[in-house]
Amino acid sequence: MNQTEPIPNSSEREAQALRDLENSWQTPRGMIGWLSCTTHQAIGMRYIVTAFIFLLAGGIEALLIRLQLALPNNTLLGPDRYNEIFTTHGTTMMFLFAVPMMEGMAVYLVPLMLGTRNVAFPRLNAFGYWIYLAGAIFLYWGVFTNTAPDAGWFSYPPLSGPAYSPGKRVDFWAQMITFTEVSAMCVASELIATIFKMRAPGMSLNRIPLYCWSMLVQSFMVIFAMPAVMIASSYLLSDRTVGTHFVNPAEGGDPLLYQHVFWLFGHPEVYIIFIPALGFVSSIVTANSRREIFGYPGMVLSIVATGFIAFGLWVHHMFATGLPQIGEAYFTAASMMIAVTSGVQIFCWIATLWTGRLRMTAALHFVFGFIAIFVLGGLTGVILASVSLDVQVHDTFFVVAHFHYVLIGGALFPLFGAFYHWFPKITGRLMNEAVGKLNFWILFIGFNLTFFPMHILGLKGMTRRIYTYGSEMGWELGNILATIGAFIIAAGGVVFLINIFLSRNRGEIAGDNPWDADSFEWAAASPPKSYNFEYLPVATSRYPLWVAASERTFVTGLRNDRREVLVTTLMDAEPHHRLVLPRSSLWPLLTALAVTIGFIGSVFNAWYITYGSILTGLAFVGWFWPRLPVETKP
Amino acid sequence: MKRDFILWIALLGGPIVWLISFETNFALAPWACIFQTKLALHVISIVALVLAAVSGLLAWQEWKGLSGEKEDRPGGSLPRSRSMALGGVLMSAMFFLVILAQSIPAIVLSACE
Ligand code: HEM
Ligand SMILES: [Cu+2]
Repeated sequence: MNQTEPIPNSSEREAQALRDLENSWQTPRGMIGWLSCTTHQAIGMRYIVTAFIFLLAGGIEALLIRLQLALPNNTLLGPDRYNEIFTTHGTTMMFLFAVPMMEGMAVYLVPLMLGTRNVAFPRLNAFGYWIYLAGAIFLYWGVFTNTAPDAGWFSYPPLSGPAYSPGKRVDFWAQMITFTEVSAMCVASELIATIFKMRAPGMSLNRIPLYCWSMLVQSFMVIFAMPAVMIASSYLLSDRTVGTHFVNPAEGGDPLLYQHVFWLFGHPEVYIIFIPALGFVSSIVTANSRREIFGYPGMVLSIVATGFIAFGLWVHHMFATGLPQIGEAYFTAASMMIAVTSGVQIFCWIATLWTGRLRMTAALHFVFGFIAIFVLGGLTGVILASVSLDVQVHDTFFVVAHFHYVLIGGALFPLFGAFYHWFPKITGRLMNEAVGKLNFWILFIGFNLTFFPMHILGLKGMTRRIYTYGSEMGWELGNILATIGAFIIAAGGVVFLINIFLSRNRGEIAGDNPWDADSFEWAAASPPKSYNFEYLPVATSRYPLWVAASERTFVTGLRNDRREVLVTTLMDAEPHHRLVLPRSSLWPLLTALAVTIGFIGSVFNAWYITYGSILTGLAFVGWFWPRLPVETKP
Repeated sequence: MKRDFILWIALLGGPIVWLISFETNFALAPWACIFQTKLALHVISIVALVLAAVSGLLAWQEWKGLSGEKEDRPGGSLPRSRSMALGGVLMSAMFFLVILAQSIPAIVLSACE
């Protein structure tokens, strides 16, 4: 393995190498091939497309909510249906759209950015996707059979307990959680291994692209936060199905325990969605201000610090439960301190933009929108962090406004920016920039029109989760504005879809690096080949593609006739050994099916846990069956 | 190797100390009322502040040591070590502040509010 040899240019050897690479990385054709695929681009795309469909589903539910609330004493949705719809909206958006979307973008982008060929555990990656899909289908099976969850997206007991939520609605919710969390844990563990051990040689810790740093921190947060919600939902599920007494007060259980465990996950969850978005912003800002990011070390530190502090905030969701004041005050303090770390990042981006040579792309528009909205959302957040104010507006539309400012401003706007930024990499064609900017302005105006009035509605006392209100309350103006805004947002979504479909077929050909960006994904072809790079690149700088082409170096000596990648050391990314990754395999799908049988069955009959475990064990035997490491033929 | 270990401590010491002290304090807050004393809360805050300061000093020392060193070969680990050491200083400072902010409630609030 020699990492400084120039690319050999004997064209015959070259052609043979390409054929070998092509062979060893290609996914077999046909249905079976599709189901057994383990390449990160394909699986990342599946996550992205599936999660996008659920964004649309959640969006339709949001429109129904807004239609119902548009006028006082409206009867479009009855109270029961309304409960189902807002719960399904919140659940879909958080668990089926936001987290999987961020995971999918990372599955697609991280290996490219690190200069490698796949994630560290390709079959686990496939398994994670199937499990997510199963959980999503499961929830929507409930939605279409009058079994949509209806106890709010955090399903507090006792409301969600057996006494007040008979039937299977809450069980569907609780088990869907298990599915999506397993899936998120799969992605998190493979991303950590990939970022730690499969970086391009030379990409020492202080050269990792900020997006990969943010995914690293996010993945650790997933690993620490997701087990908490699985425990919470399992408490709930076993209280409901086999009569345990964890969180059911009627049986001496402790509902506050549920709240603690849920929010121990729930607050970090917000950052699990938001930190990847910060990574998008850093990439877009760097590429479009055409200069190195200002304060890289400060950025990294504040991402890491955010990752920690996010675990010290959960009780601010429980200020209204009457905990000891000293205890609550710790959380006020931490909630205020986290504003410092966000402030550092905002400052660094602004400094970069200020001193750079700006190119006002559509993606950058979304970044500016993000900064504006996020600052406002952060301000209302600091307001809510103070116990006295929070108790005043708790469970009102002020809170609904706040978290949509954070979630949509903080995650959806950067995400759309990311779509515009990386679409040319994924499809090989540019999206239409003019339509993109129009898209931005429609979304930005619609967003503020929808959610700004909700602050005022909240202060005027409109509580969340009510299906209607009387005309004497004086809430009409705010509500009708919010509904009009929601339809403007929907129009923005339609513009985006049109742009996607038109650009996909007719967009301008992008080339490898349309934005002259700095990181490795732009060195791959657009769309990337299944093996990403013919020769794995070496990172000679923090901005490897801004190094003069003559000074760039490549890894040679990897075998092309099997799926080989280079493993490097954790701190300094020195070449360590070669690793052969598995090829396509059906076992991830079969294992996911076995797990699904166990999970879904156990909602109806606890014995299915046993059946599911046995089936899963059998599937694991197939999965881990020893195979020869050298796979010369596809 | 030993240096790398110290650098990790320097970098992650502050946040870990903070996490532990804060969780313990939160768990002990109801007991402060039962026993009518906030002593335990104060002690934990002080110990945590000292530990965060120690990790900051450790980082500072490493950083000073590293700035005197010369790169032995191109692509070596010196720049990375320097950023980690400097990062350790900043992280410890940040979490020193967080711990400090969290030691205020026990001072100004009475044990049973
Ligand atoms: C497309 C624009 C959106 C609109 C118009 C919208 C509207 C609303 C409204 C009006 C509510 C309150 C329902 C009530 O309390 O009665 C709500 C709840 C909620 N929304 Fe959205 N939303 C949108 C997008 C999103 C997104 C993108 C996310 C997350 C990524 C999200 C997450 C939530 C959550 C978690 C709840 C709480 C559900 C509950 O109370 O259990 N929303 N939304
Ligand atoms: Cu929170």
